[in-house]
Amino acid sequence: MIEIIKLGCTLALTCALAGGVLAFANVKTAAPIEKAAGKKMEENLCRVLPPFQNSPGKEKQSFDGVVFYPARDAQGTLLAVAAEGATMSGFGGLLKVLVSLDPASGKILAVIVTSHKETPGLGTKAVDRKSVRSLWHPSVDPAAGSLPPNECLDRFTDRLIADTGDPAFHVVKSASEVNKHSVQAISGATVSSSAVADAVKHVCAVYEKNRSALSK
Amino acid sequence: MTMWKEFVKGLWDENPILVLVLGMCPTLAVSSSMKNGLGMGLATTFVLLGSNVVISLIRKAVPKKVRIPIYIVVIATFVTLVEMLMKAYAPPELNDALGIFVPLIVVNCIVLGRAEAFASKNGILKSAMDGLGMGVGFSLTLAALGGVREFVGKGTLFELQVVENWPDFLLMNSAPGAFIVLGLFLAGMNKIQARKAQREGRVYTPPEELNCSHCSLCSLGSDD
Repeated sequence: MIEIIKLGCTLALTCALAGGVLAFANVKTAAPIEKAAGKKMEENLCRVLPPFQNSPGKEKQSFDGVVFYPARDAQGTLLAVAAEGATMSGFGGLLKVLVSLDPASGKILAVIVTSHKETPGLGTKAVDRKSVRSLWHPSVDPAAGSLPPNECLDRFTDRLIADTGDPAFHVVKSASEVNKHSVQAISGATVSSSAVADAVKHVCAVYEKNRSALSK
Repeated sequence: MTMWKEFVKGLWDENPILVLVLGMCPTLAVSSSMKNGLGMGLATTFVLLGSNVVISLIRKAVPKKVRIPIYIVVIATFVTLVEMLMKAYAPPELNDALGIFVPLIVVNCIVLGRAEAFASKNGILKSAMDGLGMGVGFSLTLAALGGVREFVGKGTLFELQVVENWPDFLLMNSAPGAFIVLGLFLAGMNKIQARKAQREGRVYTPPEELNCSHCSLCSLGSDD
């Protein structure tokens, strides 16, 4: 009996110590992490939006957990809206997407994944945008000035926001089944593809619901 | 000199993947490209070094019966700490490249295996060298596996196109390719060891200390 109490106390002490160390580190790193995340967000906005003159981060609006960032030109005319939404259905849980939407044509411009915990080499096929450079011409970037390609994310470009935000929107496995309410998944990364589609669908649905407030 | 021996054994004689056959889960999932392999390897090396040192430090204070939960707490604390520090202070490129590997390390049995089989029985310096050697051996093997899979699968190395217009070989990019390449690596390793032993006039047997202590599952909660 005494032994069990002794062992329990040792374990409790170890956990308390570990918890203390982590709590201290958490407090100390919270501010730098937030700062790094803010900087990263600005970079991501520049990647998906057309060139803008305002600061979208200061005009952001939230609806139903989706954050919208409007991009304007020098006269204050709305050029496009970027929206960050999240889903918990990724293979590793939380997955966040940043979608740029064109209010004039009602179409999706581009999709990037800003945060994820997918398996490297498997799920990351559906979320990473990267261009392949040649070993013989390492300085030539084939995707310079534009977003590097990704098979899964590029399938959303030029789709109508209204169709993508429809409750019937879903993921299919073969190219022959694709219609305006579905998108094809990447083989070997089905769960991650579905998670991306789920997040984009949510963003589009929220945008459609609040379109009048976001068109100013 | 003994310190050097502890380091080198992880590279070849007791290579964690090819001889100990530990950490198969990350090995198969992450070896799809050289960059992924090396990233996972380096992140693991760091945690292995840290956890080996801490566990060696506390080895005399830890009651035998609850050692496994205590080791797991130490390892998980280390991994979480590394994750937070990297998010806060590492350059964004490094964080993007390595960040996704860090949470995977908690469940990597090499870290627990070395804690149980080595760090809990040896001094701090020796344990540090063991962790470093095992980590470097793990990194190099993962990078080699990833390199072969990436080259055969896509004609790229370290995400640089080596051969233009390489036809995509999908098998290599998915899990079956990992099993095949790993099998060939293991066969090659055994062949080399067997030939070396034959030349010296003996039969190859894996190093004696590589017994059940590397997998502590059947001795959980036992007193020794």
